Amino acid sequence: MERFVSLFVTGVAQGAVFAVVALGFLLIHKATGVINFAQGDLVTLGAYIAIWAATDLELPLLGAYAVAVAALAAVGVLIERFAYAPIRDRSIHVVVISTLGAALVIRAVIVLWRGTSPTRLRGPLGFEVVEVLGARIPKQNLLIIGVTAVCVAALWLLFHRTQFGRQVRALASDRMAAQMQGIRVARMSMLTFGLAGGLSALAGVLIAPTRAVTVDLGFGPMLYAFAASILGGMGSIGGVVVGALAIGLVQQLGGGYLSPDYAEVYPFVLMLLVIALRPQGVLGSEVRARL
Amino acid sequence: MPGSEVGTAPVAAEPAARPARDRDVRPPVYRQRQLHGVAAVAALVVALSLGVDSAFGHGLLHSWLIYSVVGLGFYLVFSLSGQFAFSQGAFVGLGAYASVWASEGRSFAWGLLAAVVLSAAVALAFAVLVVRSDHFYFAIATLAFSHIALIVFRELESFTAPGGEIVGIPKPDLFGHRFASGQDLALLLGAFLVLALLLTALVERSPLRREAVAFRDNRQVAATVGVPVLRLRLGMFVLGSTYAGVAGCLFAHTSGFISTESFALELGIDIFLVVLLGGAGSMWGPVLGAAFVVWAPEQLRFVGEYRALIYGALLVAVVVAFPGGLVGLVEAAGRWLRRGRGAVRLRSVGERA
Repeated sequence: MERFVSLFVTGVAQGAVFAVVALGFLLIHKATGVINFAQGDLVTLGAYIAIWAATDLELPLLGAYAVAVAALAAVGVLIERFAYAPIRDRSIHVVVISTLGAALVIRAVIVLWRGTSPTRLRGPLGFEVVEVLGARIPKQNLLIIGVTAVCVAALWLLFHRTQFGRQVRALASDRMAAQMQGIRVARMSMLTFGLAGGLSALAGVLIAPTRAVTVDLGFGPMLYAFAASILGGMGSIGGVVVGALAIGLVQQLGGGYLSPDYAEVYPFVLMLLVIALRPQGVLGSEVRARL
Repeated sequence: MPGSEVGTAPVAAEPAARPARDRDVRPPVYRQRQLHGVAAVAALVVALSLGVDSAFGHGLLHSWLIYSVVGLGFYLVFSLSGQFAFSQGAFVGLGAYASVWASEGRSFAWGLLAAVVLSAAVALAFAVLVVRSDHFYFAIATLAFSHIALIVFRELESFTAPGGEIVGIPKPDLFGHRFASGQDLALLLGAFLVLALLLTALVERSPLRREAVAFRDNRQVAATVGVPVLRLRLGMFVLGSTYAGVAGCLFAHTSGFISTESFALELGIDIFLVVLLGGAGSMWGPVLGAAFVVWAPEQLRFVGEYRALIYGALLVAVVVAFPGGLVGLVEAAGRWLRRGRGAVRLRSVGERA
């Protein structure tokens, strides 16, 4: 039982981080119709900027987190300006390669700036644990779950209760019609890239205290966030969050009860099955084509 | 080469029959001269393998030839049929491990056979599994596939080796001859590249190319005008992935050492660069791009640690500003020269009038 509770909470916490990354994908995908393959390296960069602000600038931890989120929002806008805006009307492949190139640049900058040796980011709660049903749960995991819940709620409100959200949804449902109604496409894509950048930094500072920080920190979460988006059908916030939690749980429970060697494989097997059997996603209903 | 005469015969008649609009689809510089190009590459490989005498030079030559084969496969999958596959590097790994596994205690030919059969079979199974995915989902599925493949190479020790590291792989032997020297190896790899080029040229000269391009540019429209979309998509993916498998087999037996790191993300990025930098619009792009990717790091040693940064920036710059790549630059130069001649002729006509 302790084992199950422990694996379950870790799975939910990991899933929560994947959800934050996946929400960034969702935002950009809704507003522009593309996927930003640099998201994973933005997560890494966010964690490194927080480490830099906390150690080199000696800011308090929350201040360092805020610096990371603000910096990454700016980086998101930069990526939009240099790697997406000039080629907005070209084929999807070009956009993917271009964001991939941006990812390489970010990765290389991190290596040049901080080197390749692993470092650590302190969590605000250190290594404290609480006992739940006999299982020792790191408080950081509970913090991750709490922050993600707040973040999801805020995004839901943003999507469904503000002018910005209405415009994003309009772009997602019919790009051309939305454009003809006077929605400023360029501004919206800058805003969503910026917001997604901030979200990746948040994911970075949430996940960094649970593991060693290397330049590969964000790669795994990005892949799992892809898987989560596919499970959720790339449609709604709820779908993506449920998909992300499922991915986190499958990874932890599969690793715990089947074989830890293949823990990283189970979520992808689930994802490939979803692509094979229900490509519109378990919870999604959208089938669209960009002609 | 006896096949070249048969192959070139219909070529002379073809451009005249083709409507002018269609002609622009094909790069003019290389229009219908694939077999000349293959012969030129073959001659170049022979000349280089005889001319180079240092082990280091042979190493570069081997890398160029292997990268070219991988790139040609990716050209079929990505450039021609527009399938965004991150899996090419994983298939190189699959071919490498399969050939080492099958050739242990046997001849190299068994390893080659295993690499071909296994990479083709796995590619087909995977492509069938994700056949309903569109662009992004396919890209993500192939990314997941290569992630899974790396973990399997590391963990499935009965197929690979503890930790996925294998040393002391014997050099290839065919027909009783062991290709041990750098020169022999270069000639063998060159022969494989020529085979790969010939097969690609066949695709280029058949309706397959036209259908693949139609499929790439608009799947729905291609399907409605009768392009066998499913067969095309699976066929090109399997063919291109098999190129990668063969290249993996050659890589393992040439270098004598493989580990999972050989097939990680860096290889995938190099493959992208090979095809995009060389020029995604032409079958010669990967050959040129491979030469650049292998040769440039040696020439640009002073950039050292900035290499990854430059590669990333180069990738963005190429797709944003030079979508034709190196081949595109060559073509632009050719067009510029011809336009110069054309302008002169026009002026002389004007003077006469």
